[in-house]
Amino acid sequence: MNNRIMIVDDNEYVRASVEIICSSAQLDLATAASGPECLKHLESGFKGIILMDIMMPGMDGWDTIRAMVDRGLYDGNIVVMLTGMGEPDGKMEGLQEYVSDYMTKPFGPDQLIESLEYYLTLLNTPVDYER
Amino acid sequence: MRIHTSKISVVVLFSAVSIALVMMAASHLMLGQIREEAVRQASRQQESSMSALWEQMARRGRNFRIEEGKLYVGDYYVLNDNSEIPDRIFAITGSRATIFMGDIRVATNIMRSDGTRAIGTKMIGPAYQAIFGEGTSYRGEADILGIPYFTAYDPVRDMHGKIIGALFVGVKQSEYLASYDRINLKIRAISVLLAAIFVLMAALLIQVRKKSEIAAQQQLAFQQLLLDTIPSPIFSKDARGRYNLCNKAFQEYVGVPSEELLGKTVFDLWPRELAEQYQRMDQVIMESSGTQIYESQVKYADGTLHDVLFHKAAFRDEKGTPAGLVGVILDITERKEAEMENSRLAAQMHQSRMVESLMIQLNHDLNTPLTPLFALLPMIEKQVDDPGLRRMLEICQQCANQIKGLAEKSLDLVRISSGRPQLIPVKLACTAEFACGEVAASLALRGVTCHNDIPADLWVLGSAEQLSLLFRNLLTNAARYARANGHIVLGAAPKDGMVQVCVQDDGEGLDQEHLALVFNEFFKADPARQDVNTQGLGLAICKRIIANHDGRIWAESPGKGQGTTIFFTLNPAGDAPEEAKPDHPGSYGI
Repeated sequence: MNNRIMIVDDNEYVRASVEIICSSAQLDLATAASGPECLKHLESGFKGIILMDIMMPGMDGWDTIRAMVDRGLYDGNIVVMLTGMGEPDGKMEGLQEYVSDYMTKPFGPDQLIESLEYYLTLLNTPVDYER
Repeated sequence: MRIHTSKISVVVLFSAVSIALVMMAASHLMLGQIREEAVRQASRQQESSMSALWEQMARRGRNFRIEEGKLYVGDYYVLNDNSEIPDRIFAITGSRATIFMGDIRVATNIMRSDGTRAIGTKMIGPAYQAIFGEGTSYRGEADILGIPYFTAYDPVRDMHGKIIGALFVGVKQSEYLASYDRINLKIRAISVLLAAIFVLMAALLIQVRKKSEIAAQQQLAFQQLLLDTIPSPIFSKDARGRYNLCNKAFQEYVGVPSEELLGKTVFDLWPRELAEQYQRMDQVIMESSGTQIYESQVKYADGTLHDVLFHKAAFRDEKGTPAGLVGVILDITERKEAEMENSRLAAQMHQSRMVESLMIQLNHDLNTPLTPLFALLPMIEKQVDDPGLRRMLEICQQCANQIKGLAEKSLDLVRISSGRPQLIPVKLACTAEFACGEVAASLALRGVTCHNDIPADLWVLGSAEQLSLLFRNLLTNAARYARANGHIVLGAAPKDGMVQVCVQDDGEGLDQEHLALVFNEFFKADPARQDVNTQGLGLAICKRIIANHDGRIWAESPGKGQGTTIFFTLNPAGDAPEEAKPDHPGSYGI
C-alpha cells in the first residue's frame, strides 16, 4: 500500500497541522516548503497524493505542476490544490487536467482525512496509476 | 458699401459722357477750321481764276465797249453768246465763268436746272450792290440761281471808266466742299462712334463692377452666415486692435451686438487690467508668424467662466507688415470637465482594483493562519474531556469561524462592487435550487424546509454567479431567522415589466424602522445578540448584487413574530434566443 502524501505549502504551521493530522491517521507525509522542494522529493522517487498550495512566493502551485509535467514527474501522482475562496485562477488555464480536486482553506481534520483516504484508495486500486 | 458703389458708377458714367461730348465738340471745332480753310482756299482759287479770266480777255483786247447791244472786247471780239472764254476758264481752273453786259449774263457756263446756259438772267444780291452800287470788286459767297457759290466779281469798265458790265468766276459750294463734306461726315461718324463706344464701355464697366459687387456682397453674406453658424467665437482685428469682424458666438461671448462691437478695441469692452493683458498677447501674436495657441479662462457676458483655447494668427499686407489678426476661441469647458471626470473615474477604478487585490491578499493571508486553527482545534477537542476546556475550545472554534466568515463576505462584497457583471439569460428556478442545495446544512441545522415555487420557465437577465450568491445569502439569513422547523418559500412572478422575486420566512419578523436599515453594512437587528456566525454583510451584498442588475430590493414584515419577506426585482429575459439560454444550471458555484 502506498500511503504516501506530500504537503507543499510555504506556511510552516499549515505543514505542521497537516503532519499532525496525517500521523494521527497513520499516513506517511513528506513536507515541502516550496515548489523546488516538492520537485526534489519527486526526483527522489516520491509517488502519492500531493496537497499543493496555490499562492506561494516565487514558484507558485501552478508553476510547480507545470515543472512536474515538463520534467516527466507527474505520472503516478494525484494533485489536490489547496485554495482560498476567490483567489485568482488566471494561471490554471491548461493545467486543470492535472488537478484531481480542490480543497478550500481552511479545512477541518475530518474533511482532510476523508479526502486523503478517498484518493489513496483510488491511487492504490486501479492499474492506471501503478507503474 | 452699395451707396459708395452707385456713387462711383454715377461719376464714371458722367465722366464718360463728358469726355464723349468734349471729343465731339473738339472734332466739330476742328472740322469748322478745316471748312474755313477750305473756304479760304476756294476764295484764293477764285482770285486766280479771275486773273486767268482777265488774261483771256487781255488776249482779245484791252478795251471793252457796248455797241449795238453787244459787248465787245478789243476791236471785234463779241462776248455776247460766246461761251469760248467761260468754257476755257472752266477747263483751266475748274471755275465757272460769266460775262455780264450791264447786269445781264451774256456769256456763261452756269447752267439752269434744265441744262441750258443761264444767258439773259440777272445779277442780284450783294455782288450787284458792290459792282453797280459801289463800283468795287466782290469776293465771297453768293447765291446764283438759288445755288450757293464761292464767287469773285470784277467790274468791267469802258475806256471812260464807266462800268458797263462785270466778270464772274465761281464754283458751286456743293461741288467744291463735296470732298470736305465726305471727310466731315466720316470724321463725325467716327467721333460719334467713338463716343458711343466710350459711353458703352463705361456703362459696361459699371455693369461689371455692379455684378462683381453683388457677387462680393453675396460672398460676404455667405461668409458671415458660415461664421455665424460656427459655434466657436471668431473675430478679427485691424492693425490698431479694432474689431472689424466677428460672428454671433463672439457677440454672445462679449454680450454686445456686432454694430456696437465693430470698431471697438479691447479697452472699450473689458476692464483696463484685462484689456492690457489682451493687448500684450495680441502684440506678441502680431510680431510672430504662424498660429499661436494658448489656453485661458474667460468670463462670458452671462457671467459663466469658460475654459478656452485661443487660436490666433497675424495676417500681413503685401509688404509683410502686420495688418491685423484673426482669432478663434474654442470652448473646452466640457472637454475639461470630461477629462476631470475621466481621471476621477480612473482614480476610482484604480482604487477599487487596489481594494479588491488588497482584499484578495488579505483573504489569503487570513486563510493561511486559519488553516492550522481549523485543522488542530477539532483534534485537540477530541483529546480533551474536561468540560471547561471543551467550552474554551468551542469558543476558539466559533471565533475562528467568524473570522473565516468575515473574510469570505468582505471578499464577496468587494468582488461584486468592483465592476458590473455581464448580464445573460439565466433560468431563475435553477439558480435558486442550486443555492438551496448549497445551504442545505444550515437549513437542516434548524429543521427548516425550503419550498422553491419559482416557475421553471422563468428567465431573467443576470449573472448566474452573483444571483447564486444572492440566493445563498438570502437563504442563509432566512434559515437563521425562520421559526425552528419552519418554512422558507421562494416565489417569482412578472410585474410591471420586471420579474419580482420574494424570499419569505416565518420567523421573528422585523421592526418597521429596521426594514430599510437591514441592507446597510454591518447592521444587525439585535445588537445585543451575540451571534458569532453572522457578519452583518449578507443583505448589504444582496443590495449590491441587485444594484448590479438594475433592480430594487426591499424588506417587508407584518410585524414582530410574523415573518419577513425580502422582495427584489430583476429584468426579464423573455425575448432572449433559445440558444442563449443554457440548458443546464451548470457550475453556478463560486
